[in-house]
Amino acid sequence: MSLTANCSFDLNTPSDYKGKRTGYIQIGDSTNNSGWANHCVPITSVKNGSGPRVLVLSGNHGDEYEGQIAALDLARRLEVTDVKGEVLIIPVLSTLASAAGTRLWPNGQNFNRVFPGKVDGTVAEKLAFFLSNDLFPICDSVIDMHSGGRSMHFIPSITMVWVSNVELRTEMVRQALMCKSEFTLLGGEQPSTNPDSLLPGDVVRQGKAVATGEFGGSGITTAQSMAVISSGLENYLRGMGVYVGKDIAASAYENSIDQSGKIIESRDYSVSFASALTDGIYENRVDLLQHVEVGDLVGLIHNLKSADAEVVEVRARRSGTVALIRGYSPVTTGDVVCMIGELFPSMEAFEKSIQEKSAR
Amino acid sequence: MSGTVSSSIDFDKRGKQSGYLKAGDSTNNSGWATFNLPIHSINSGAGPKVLIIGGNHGDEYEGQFAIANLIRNLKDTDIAGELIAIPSISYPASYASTRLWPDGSNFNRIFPGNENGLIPEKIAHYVATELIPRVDVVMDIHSGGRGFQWLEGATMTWSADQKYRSDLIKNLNGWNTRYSMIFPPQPGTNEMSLLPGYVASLGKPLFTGEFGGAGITTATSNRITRCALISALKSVSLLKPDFQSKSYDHQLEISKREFIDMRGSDSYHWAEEEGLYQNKKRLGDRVEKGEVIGAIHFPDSADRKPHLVLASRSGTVGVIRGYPRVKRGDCLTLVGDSYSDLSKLPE
Repeated sequence: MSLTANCSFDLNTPSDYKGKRTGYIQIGDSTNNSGWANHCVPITSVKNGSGPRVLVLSGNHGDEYEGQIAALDLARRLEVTDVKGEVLIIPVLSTLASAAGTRLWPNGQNFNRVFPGKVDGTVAEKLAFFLSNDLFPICDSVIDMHSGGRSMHFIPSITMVWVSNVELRTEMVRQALMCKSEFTLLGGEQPSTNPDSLLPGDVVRQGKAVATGEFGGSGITTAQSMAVISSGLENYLRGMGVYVGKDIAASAYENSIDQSGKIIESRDYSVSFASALTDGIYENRVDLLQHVEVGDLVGLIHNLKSADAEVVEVRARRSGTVALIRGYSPVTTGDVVCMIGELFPSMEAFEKSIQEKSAR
Repeated sequence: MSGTVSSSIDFDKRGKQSGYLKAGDSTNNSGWATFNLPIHSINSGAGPKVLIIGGNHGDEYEGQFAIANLIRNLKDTDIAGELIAIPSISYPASYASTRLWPDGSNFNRIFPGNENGLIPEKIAHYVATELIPRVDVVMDIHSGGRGFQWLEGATMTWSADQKYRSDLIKNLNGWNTRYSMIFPPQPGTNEMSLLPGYVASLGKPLFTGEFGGAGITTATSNRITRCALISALKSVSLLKPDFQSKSYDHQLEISKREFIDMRGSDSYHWAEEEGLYQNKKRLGDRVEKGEVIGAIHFPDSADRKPHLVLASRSGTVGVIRGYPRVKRGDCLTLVGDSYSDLSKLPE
């Protein structure tokens, strides 16, 4: 239980409670311009009696706007009769980073690296502590919507980290497919990163399923990326049994989205990632969804300050389908500029290939 | 003639040369410094003289890549005439991934420059007094930068002068792009302070284009830009018609062309609130007047409804918003009538 953050409305309502409430998570703050302040993060609850309680989160990273807009839309349009159980929505977790158009908070913190938070830490850490101690334990399931942010551009898709706990993984696969997204990306854990410090990692640590998605990127949104995320979110909530309303997003976009459940598997980041090997300005030479072979050129790093420097080529370390290209063009050595994975027509086809590999 | 910028290469010399424009500088960390701007010259004698400029705005990378890659792959025997190329004229802004220079200068608002001004002003002055007078044609390659995303295409600013306009139209066709966009002079701006506006004021042939944007380039936008640049250089007979390059892929079939007229003030849609903007239409979508084309959300307020942006006219969406955090007065989207034949465009 957090002593430094609270919700402006009561989260512990009786199970037969019905109503829609909007308010704020209020976090104690003290700034140069406001000695006694509350940092306010908008939150919406729509509850209709007993049933599952699902937490919808976005804006974990400030410059990932697709989820923020989809969640803001959902928070406004959701009525009590659309719901069975409770939907809790925090459309923009990292409000200050969102306003600044940056991944990180103005104090330099990456909200997706501060879990399980700290009760007497920075505002970001206090918020993470509140989520980890006050919200995750009372929810049955969590969806955390991401995108590439300014630096990366993904195929708009559901993503899933291949956790080792088989029971949990089975539930996560079920939830990912429930979104009926055209693509599901299967990735490994972030290299050289404590997995529990990530928001989804903290949910998994508590033994709960978490759905995540990377719905585009480059710090922009398009009508297409919004179509993918809005319908994916609605399908997810319906699949969880908490949304019983009309097919609003899903039917509005049904013609523009191919719901074929394809899988792109890139769990081995040592070959799936292509990284910058020098500083410079990066030029994408492959498009999303393009097929590449090992050794194919995926991009060029230019030195625009020199009249005669050679360009540095970046090449694919595996064959497969391009799932991620670079957004922000200036790159530093070690930046990921491309991700390649193996395309499977369905989850069954992917699982069959794993069984065949282990049989060998 | 500039007293504060010099060139390390002699443009009169035949062959291919790479060097720097050197502008006197004095910074906190280097009291006596020279700002070095990469520049290339390929001189094959008689023929048209062409200046191509990329990176006028730093975060518009498509043209910078197309020019840098072309210069690497071009031999003096590939052209007839003279080519002067500056791939990234605002490279300090390119490295910062910003439209403006780190000193706040917008390179496309400072013409004809100032010999004793800031570094970008000195460069602009050199371009205006040394390079533009030297050449017959100027090409300036843009894109939307972080704020905008354009249908990749040729552009022209409508000119009241019929003779100059027909010349601009010829060059618009020279790019040979799927889309071409025609717009009015920039509102609230001295047109002559723009690089292309300055060139136009001299009555000199000019090519301009907007090849994508949103601060990201894709393989497709980069290919379209390369192809357009090759077409444009061939259209002025600088590049030989049989030019081929294995390492400079520039093959693109254009089956249909479309001209989008954005001259009307109702083409522009401006933000009337500060907030988080959502594009509701895709590039190239057809919209009807009064239709919702976007929404400004207010994420700081848990229960405030979004401000809907309605199309002020029917037409084709030629530009959408990139960076979604908008403030009042930011341009959100452009809509114009689409024509398959430019001669049908009204006066």
